[in-house]
Amino acid sequence: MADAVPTWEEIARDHGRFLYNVAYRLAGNDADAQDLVQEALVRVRRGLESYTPGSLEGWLARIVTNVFLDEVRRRRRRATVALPETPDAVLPPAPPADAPGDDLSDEVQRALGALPEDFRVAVVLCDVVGLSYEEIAAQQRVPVGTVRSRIHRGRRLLREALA
Amino acid sequence: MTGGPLPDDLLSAYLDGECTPAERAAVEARLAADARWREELEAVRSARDALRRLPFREPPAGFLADLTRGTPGAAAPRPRRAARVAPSRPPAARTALAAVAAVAATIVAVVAAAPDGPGPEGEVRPAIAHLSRTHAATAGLEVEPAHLVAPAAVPAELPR
Repeated sequence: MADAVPTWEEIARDHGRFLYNVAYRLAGNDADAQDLVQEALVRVRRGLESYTPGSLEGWLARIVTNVFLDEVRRRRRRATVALPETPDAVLPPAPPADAPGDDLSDEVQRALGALPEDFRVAVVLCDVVGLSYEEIAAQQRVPVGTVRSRIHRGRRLLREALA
Repeated sequence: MTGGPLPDDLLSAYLDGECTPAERAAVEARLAADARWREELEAVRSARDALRRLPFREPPAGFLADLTRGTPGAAAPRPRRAARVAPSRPPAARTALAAVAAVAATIVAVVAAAPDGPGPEGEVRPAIAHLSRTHAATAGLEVEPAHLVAPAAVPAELPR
């Protein structure tokens, strides 16, 4: 029996926490994460009609990741005048965590927030969401080799930042 | 990590089980022969483990409930934090709407309460012009908010 397509309310209720966790790891702070979740849920509602039952969390991860990347691009356009000294820094580095966590987690989150967005997305989708390279490649519409490179370089930068 | 044709990003793929059998064999051969590759492998493994050990980040209390509360079937996310919700109708238009509604409601009320009942067909008593003048003189909008005069004639809740 084919899986039923969930309603918007079911997704918000049952997968909102998942969306928030991914959004937080991408954005690095609570306020941006909440905005990403809100916009993601707007897109979920618009996209539900065309959703084909399958990996729901993979689909949701793609949506919230696209919302994040769209926001990065939007802020980058706005930042060209306001922040000329940091052309590569959009959303990162993440501000201090809003709620106290353990020091190691905060340190990892800061290092994650300092990664270039493409690398950050790749490692979050791989190591936080748990997608395969092939799934990430399909989602990001890049070759698998590009995913492999982004994940490796992201991890290496992360390791250097944590050393 | 140079000195060979193998790209070092194979190390992450190796860790993640994302190599082909041929790639896996090549990586293992290189690891056996190259201490720098082994160091690199451990560095990448350490970063990967740090990411995978990140705790699940819970949303703030009430955040998700706020998104879905009270709108079954058509739940709408709340406005974005940074967004300003533009009024759907400017204040001046709202005042004008309320004033028109107040005049209309007063006319209806006075006609319905006229002690003589309806006049001859085609005649309205008291005359509309008289009613308008009376209302204008006694229900100045400056001192008597129109929405208090005729609350039932305006939308239950005007958009802000």
